[in-house]
Amino acid sequence: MATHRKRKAKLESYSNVISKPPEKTLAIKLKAKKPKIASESSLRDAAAQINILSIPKRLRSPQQIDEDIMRLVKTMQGGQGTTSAAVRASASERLASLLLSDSCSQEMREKCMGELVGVLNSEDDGCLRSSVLGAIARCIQDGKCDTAISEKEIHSLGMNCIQDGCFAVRVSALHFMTSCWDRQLADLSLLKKILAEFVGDPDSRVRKAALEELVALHSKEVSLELAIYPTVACALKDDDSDVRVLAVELVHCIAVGQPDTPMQLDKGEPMTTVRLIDDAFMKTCGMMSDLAANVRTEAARLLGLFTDVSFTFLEQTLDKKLMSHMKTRKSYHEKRRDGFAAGNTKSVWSSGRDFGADAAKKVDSDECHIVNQGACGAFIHGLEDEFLEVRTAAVKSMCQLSTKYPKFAALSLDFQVDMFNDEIDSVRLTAIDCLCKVIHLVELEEDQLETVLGILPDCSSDIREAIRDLLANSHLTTKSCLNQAIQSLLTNLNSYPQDRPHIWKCMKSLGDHHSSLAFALVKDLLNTHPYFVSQEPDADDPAYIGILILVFSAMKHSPLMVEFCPQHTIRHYSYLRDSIPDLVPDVQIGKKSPLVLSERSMKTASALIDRIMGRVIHIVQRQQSRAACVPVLETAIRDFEQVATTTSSPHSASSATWTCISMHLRCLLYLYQAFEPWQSASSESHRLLSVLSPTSLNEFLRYSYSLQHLFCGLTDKEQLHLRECRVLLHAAYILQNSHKIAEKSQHVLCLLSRLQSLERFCKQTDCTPSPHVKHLLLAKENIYTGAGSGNLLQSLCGPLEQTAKDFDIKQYLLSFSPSTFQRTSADILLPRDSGRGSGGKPKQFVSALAISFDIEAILTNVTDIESVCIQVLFPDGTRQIFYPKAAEIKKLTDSTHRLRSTVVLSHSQWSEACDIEISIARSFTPDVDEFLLVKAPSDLDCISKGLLNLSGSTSVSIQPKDRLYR
Amino acid sequence: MSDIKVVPLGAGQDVGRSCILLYIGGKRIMLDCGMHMGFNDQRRFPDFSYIGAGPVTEYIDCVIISHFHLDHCGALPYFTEMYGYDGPIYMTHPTKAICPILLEDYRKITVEKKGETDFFTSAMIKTCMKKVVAVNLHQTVQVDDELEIKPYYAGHVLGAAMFRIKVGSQSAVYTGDYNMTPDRHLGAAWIDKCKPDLLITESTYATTIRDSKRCRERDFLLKVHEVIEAGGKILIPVFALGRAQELCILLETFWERMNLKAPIYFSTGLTEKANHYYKLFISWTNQKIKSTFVQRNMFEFKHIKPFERSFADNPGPMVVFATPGMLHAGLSLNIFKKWAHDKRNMLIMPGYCVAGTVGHKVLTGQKKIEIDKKTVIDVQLSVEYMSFSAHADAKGIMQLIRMCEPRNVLLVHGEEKKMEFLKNQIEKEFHISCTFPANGEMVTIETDPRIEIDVDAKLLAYAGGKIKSDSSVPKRLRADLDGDDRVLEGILVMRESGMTLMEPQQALKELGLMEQQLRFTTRLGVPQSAPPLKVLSQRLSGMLKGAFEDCDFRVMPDGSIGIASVMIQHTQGADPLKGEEDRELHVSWSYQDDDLGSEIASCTEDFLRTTSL
Repeated sequence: MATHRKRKAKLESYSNVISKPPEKTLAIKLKAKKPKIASESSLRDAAAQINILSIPKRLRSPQQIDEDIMRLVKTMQGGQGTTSAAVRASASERLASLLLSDSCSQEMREKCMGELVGVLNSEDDGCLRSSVLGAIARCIQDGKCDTAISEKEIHSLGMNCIQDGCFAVRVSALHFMTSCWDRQLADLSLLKKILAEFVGDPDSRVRKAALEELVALHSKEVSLELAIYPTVACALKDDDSDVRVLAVELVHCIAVGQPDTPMQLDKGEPMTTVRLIDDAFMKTCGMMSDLAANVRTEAARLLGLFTDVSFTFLEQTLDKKLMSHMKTRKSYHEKRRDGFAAGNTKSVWSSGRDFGADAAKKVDSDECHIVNQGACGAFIHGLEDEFLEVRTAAVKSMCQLSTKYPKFAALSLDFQVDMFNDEIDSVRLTAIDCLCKVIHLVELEEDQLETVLGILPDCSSDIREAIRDLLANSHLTTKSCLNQAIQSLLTNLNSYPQDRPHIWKCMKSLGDHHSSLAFALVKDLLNTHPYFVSQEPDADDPAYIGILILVFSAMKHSPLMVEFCPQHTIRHYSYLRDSIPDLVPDVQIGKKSPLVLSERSMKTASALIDRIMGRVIHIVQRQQSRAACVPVLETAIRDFEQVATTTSSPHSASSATWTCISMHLRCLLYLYQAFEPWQSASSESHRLLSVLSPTSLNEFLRYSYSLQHLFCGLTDKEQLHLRECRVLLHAAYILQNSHKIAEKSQHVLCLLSRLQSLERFCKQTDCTPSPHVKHLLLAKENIYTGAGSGNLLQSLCGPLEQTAKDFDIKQYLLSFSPSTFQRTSADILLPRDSGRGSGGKPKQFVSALAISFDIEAILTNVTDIESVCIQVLFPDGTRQIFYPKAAEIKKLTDSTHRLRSTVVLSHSQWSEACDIEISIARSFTPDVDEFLLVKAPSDLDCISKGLLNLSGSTSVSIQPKDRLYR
Repeated sequence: MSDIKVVPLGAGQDVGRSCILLYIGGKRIMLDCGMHMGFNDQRRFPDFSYIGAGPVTEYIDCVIISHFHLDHCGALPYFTEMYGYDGPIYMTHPTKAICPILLEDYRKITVEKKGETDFFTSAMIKTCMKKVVAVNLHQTVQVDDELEIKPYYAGHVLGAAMFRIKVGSQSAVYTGDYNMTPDRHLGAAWIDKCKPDLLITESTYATTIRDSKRCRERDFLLKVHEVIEAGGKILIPVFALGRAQELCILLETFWERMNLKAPIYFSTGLTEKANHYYKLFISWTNQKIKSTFVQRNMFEFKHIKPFERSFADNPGPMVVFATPGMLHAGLSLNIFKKWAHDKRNMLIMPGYCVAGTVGHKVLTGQKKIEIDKKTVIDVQLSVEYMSFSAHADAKGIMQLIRMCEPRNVLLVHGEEKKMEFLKNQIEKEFHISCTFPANGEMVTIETDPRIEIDVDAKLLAYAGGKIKSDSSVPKRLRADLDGDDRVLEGILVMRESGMTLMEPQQALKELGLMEQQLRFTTRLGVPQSAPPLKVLSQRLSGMLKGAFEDCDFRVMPDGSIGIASVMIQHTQGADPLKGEEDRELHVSWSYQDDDLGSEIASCTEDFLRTTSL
């Protein structure tokens, strides 16, 4: 019946007299021309008017809002045509946002919707109609105004506007219909039909909008019918590249929904059918030779997302010479079969390598189609593309497909390896990373390995690392492959000594994966001779260590290898097993089993901690005189520190534990000494004697903050404990200096705020403060509520003294269990130490101009990356802090990060070369501003600035000179 | 005027001396003006006498040079200075910069080495270059009021361009040499969907589909590496510009990466000058070089040093790039003579060789090569052919055709047999006509004359809305609708100023004419067995109302029925003798409602038939 309706509309257009008198159209024309003549001034006017429309963002009363709305409605309606369409359009947009605000009444909304619809129906300016329609769509979509307009009206509005002559109105109408369709009858097929119709609109912007809406529908998980598919496929040939981009996406969307639907190929004798997904895949492949780079990029990206494609088509993407397009699929199979039978896999096309081979041959032209259709060589095109965006997308897609189809992985390996020679670093890196993901599915052949190893000496460390990761995960096929890889790694080690840890790691995985190949190579690697004793290599030579790591890793899987090892190798084993335990596995070598050794040592370590701690606590508890505790603690601290320094690896847990305990004991010792006079009933004068020195205060805070921030694994309770310690020490300081400190002095205020921050912390973490600080917290409460006496200091003194008397070190000793802590630290790899002591040449630069340093460091156990900073200390005591960008810190493993950054320094002139100290630090927020307690900053840590050092410092000698040329 | 004529003066079924005359829209354009490498007599230049007798400038509107290779520009000074052409010459900026260097070199070899007289002089090259107008990519140049040309990027060599030539509604694209696969220093050819009437494309590699360029690069580097390791010498004959730079970049990066020490030499002279221009015209290179030249200009080579003649006798491995590329003369032939006897050495031919050159002989496997009557070379060194030639292969040509969607294709710059093969492919895949004329053979290409008509915007918009559904198109036209064709109905008004398509009503108004109604009428006899007319008419109206309810349906007081413009009237036989017998129904409709009318008529006819039973 709809057709009849349209027929009628057409009839009317012929039979009716023109409704508008011609004079009127003329008048409109004139009006429209006027602003064009004085376009500049009218533009300015329009801009001014749009500005007036803007609604201040502050809160307004409902009345004011109503006024605003009415004003906007008036502007939108335009009065006697005085306002330009642009102003009215912008008024309608603002109106929509006001209507959607919560403060607008429902009544007002309904009224305004009516006005909007009225304007839409009465006006014929495209720009205005389009934005009014957009405004209505927004209001309806939000759901607040949906009662104002009936479903039927919505439908007719959409249908009306979609036939409009202006593209903008059609675009908005398409959006309007899609966004408001949910409310209407659940019949989505009509909507889809309408959208599909507009994919063929004469205006490319409308086509684009229609496709966009279809994609949007698909993203809302509306299934798209097959009926749309031919229309969309047609849009692939569109003149507008944006339309093509969307069409490619949509083809994929439709095909993924119903992959197995049979499709008939449009041309071709005899008719062949393929699955829909295969057809879509072929079409997407065809778009890889599109003339617009963004279409190619999109197509390349989408190729990777296809699943369930028949392998035949996948295979074709890698073969450019496969000419037969799907039209003659049967003959393609035949040809292949014939080719194999004849032992000739070469196609009729010459590869261009042999001259003369491309002379015209008799080719059955029915079988050959050079056209760029089908999946033929799509990836080859993509990988050869001019634009790196396309190449990157193609590489990624290839990787995605490889993970889905292991057979494809083997086929595509050659091409992926070829990409390692790309001229652009980022593409190379992507290719390597991608291959890393699929390398476990394939085996590297000798020639492929050669290409891989060819890139190993690359000057970019990222690429070197990626290649080594690739090597570490790869399966090598032959003995010579492994040998080649090892030799290349050793050369690499020679030219890039800073890569040593990574090369060793790579050696280890190579050994792990290729124990049998390594077995065959062991004689060559260790340079042994059947009856001559060879020279013993230097056990500290990195290359030799690398080889040993590989040999021992392989030995783990084939213990027989031990027989081939010379004596010194076995000796070196125990040395390496101790020095780099994470790279050298447990292997049964010789009589002594190192396995037992290390286990025992581990056991003894933890047992030792327990034993010592137990004894310390025991002694402290048993001591009658509290003063006698001090030497006990001091001895314990000394012991712990000693043990910490001798523990093999500074990163191992035990070392951290030792350090941690000793630091904690030190803190307690300070506290103990501070409170000691009050605990023994000694005289006032005695108390005055033991005043806390600023240095010890400083030390205490440094230990306390280091404990809190340089170790990870602290529980909330332990953090609270450390905070309490600081409160107590501050209290002790005030107590001791109570006669000197003025009432309401900064110290007192500082203590109060410290207490407050403690309380806040307790609230945040749901911990209860220990009884020691309870008096203080109470006193603080009283002061704030005004319950205490007028004098601040006096009202504090009582609780302070009480706290001091109550203080019990034993409880504090027990409340800290550092066995699970790990130390946060940093190792600076670059710059190397080149201070004056090392005899290096100072770096010279013109004073007041900049000099840059590359910084490279490995961060261990850093949980909070943002807090890491680079600290530079100048000889004149000034310090500069650089916060590296997030991109400059790369995660290596769960616990380690690598920082690679550049700092740019400058300084005024010096007379001679001086050292600057570069270190990696971590910033933290102190409880309160600590500048009262800490006067002088220590060398590298700077408590008052919230800095703790993670690494040792590297000194670099620099010399700013005064002139550019001497 | 409605056809395009093409005559190749050179490069018709041949490689070398590209020179094509194009007659389009009454304009004559010469596309390229090249020389032939294989000949040393007058055949090396195109036969300009074909153009016409007398001053040649009258016959040619402009000359377009696609790029600086001598087989595309070698005859230019001869044509302008000695043959007397004085009109405009168009080429891109890099071509204009590099072209004179090559011409000067060519002149030197011909005049000073071979001692020819009657050849153009340096001064002639200079004055010739003064006539050149340099153009930028995608810049539309108005040669005169009607003729406009527009260059597109063509890859191939620095500054190579494809030209679109347009006169009125007719257009043609001339590709020159182009490359569809990007390489280390140039991007791929690109053209928009300009849908020209004619595409004149080169077809050097019409039957080749090349391997992936990465395989080729890897092969090349591998071979070079092997020979260098073994202590051999490598000779790569190149033309001074183009592939030479490509291979230099490739080797330079490889040397840097592999840390190789063997020297690479490049024969000096014009190459140094040319490299200077490569450094300057960075914007004509590819993405990588463009983006990195701020740090380092890729054409500032670290490992590649200028060559001196004495170096050829130095011991130890080396790589030498020497000109010319086809081994037909000059330094490359000299070095070849010196190195040919040593098995360790290698000759790598990176490009195409014209039949008749030494290069061609070597490649075809001849072991004894006679250079002149005295010298015969015993070829011992290994010979490799690598298709590094920057021409589009068969796939590339097809891709270009797909890109610009021409209506006709004309193949030049290739071998006849290969062209024939490609022609078949093109005709089969694209269903467009394809020709490949020989030199001097004229091809005429018919074009659809296009007539411009102004259309009332309202009418167009109305049609835009209308064409949405097929049903709005009258039935008799629907059959003609095919794919993208759309029907727009209106009245064509022809005036002096032009033609306008208008809405019928408006046209009538403007012309001051009355509208004439054209109505069809069918007379349907009412069978005798039918009930009386009144009853019949009531029943009929009931039936029609049901069938066409959404049309404007009305019943007149006299019992006739109106549906839109269709009227159904009944008449009583006027002849009293026949009485009641002669009853008729008249169904009439205006021609606009043809489909509705005929439908109603057939309905009525059916109705009458059924009621009479």
